[in-house]
Amino acid sequence: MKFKKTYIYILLILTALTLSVIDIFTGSSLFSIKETAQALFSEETSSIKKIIIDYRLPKIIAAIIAGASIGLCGLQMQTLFKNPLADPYILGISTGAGLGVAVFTMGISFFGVSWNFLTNLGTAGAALAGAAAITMVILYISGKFKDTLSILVFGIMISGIGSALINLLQYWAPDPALKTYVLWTMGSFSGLNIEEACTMGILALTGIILSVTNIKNLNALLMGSDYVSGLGINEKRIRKKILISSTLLAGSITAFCGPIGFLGIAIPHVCRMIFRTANHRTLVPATILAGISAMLATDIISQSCTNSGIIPINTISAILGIPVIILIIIKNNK
Amino acid sequence: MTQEHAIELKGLCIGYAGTEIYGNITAHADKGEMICLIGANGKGKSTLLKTIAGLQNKISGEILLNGKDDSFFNKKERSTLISFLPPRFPRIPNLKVMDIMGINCYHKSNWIGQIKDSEKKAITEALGMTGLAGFENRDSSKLSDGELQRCMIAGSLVKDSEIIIFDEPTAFLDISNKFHISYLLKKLAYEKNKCIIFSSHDLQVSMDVSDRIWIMGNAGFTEGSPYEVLEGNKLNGIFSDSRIRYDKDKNKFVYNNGI
Repeated sequence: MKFKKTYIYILLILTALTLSVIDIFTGSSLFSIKETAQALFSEETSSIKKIIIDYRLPKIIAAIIAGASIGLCGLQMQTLFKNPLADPYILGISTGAGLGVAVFTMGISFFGVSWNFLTNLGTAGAALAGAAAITMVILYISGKFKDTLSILVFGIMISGIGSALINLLQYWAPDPALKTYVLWTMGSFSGLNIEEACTMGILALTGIILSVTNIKNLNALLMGSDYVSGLGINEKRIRKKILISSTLLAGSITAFCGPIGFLGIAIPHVCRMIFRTANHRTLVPATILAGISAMLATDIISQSCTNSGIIPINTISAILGIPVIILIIIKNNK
Repeated sequence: MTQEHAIELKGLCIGYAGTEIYGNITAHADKGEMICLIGANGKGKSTLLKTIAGLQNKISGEILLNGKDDSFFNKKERSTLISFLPPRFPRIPNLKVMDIMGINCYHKSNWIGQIKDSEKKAITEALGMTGLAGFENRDSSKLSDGELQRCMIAGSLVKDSEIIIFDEPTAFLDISNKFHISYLLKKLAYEKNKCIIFSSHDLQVSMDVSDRIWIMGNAGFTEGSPYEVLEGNKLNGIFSDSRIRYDKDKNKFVYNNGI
């Protein structure tokens, strides 16, 4: 039993490593193994080195960070809200990030500020601020209501208002600003430089560490509210802690890579199926490892389907994630 | 010197959010004793049990635990002293019996919830005691209702609490399991010297196994041994409907429909 678990972990790590190597070789130009190795390890500057180090490497790092975060975030939200289909999108946190970006990209153009001066980092900051604002609202509501269903309904309503506001902004926005916003909503790992990837990594790592300290609390929450209080645990406090770590995870992905749907719901379920357990001590590392592989695979597919350009991440994540989610619904209703 | 009771309630008044739902409860419970709480629906049985366990705030009155006012206990101490078990447990697919035992070791396990060998020994013992020996790796969601209740009782043994409060442990069980679970609790009261309080609507079984009955009656709180309760006709005061009487000879409630 114990050995089997270790084998699956090793298999997941090997898959992730293999996929990152494949991802290095994936892109619009093909390089040989020798060229790639030279670019990675030699001192000489070349155009190949520039592509690999400045473009592909940050992209892979971003995919790994996003992958490690997305499944873990979904797992925590599913346990917190006792809902197998919960994730940051349902709670409105992603819409909050979207609204932040919309206000930033489109709103600012009203004041005649030119686009060229604004960097990705500005967009990311706006997204994080939006996600944090919605989380504050959810935190406040979750302090008022213990009932998880009401909080979910509030999340959906907040999403609705957020989407409506975004639509209004889009209606009034000038074309270039609209284009920037729409591109962000499609999701992408590219276009990040190494500094941005590091910022994203630090935020996500904080979220991951917090999640690991949540393992015991997540297990206890499985047993229901009364049982948690009966264990002498301050339920409101642990709920807040879980919400904060989920927001850090969701916020950092959405801010830098755009909203990525469906994988956050699907990955935890795949892990529960593979490991046949509901214990978060197994599921937390499992969702991190499986998420990395899933995200790298998504990135590879998004780049290798067409000869020209990249398919949006959100398209591929929907094609990979939705069948799994439908399977879960069918299985749960049997 | 008078002996300290495991639980002593003095003029306790219970309720939700400042609104009283039942007042003036005075009673006590000792270790090694099995107490059944009965009362009509909505009288506040669950509220009383949760208030004693510290899951809910009292309105007024006193709760003494082992002779000390309950304000002396913090959440962790109180949860170690008292195990509160709700009537029904969620069925989580793939959650193993061992995982549930691990959750009950919340304060004894390390930061990621791993347990020590001494706790593992206690778990094996608790599972043996509740008739679940060898169930460690079973999927808890696939246990029968009776087995799941046993599993939860085993959890309270793992916590090693002196007091076990069980809200309607037998509500969803068939008659044979009602007896099995009730006598298992009685065994724990006697052999492990636990103080056990459980609520029930099942008088037939409760009168059999309990040492004392607490009644949240229509006119007020009263208590006594099953014999005193029967001879004193105390069960008649449970319901406001005067057509319901407790028939001592038949040992059951009868309904006079006026025919």
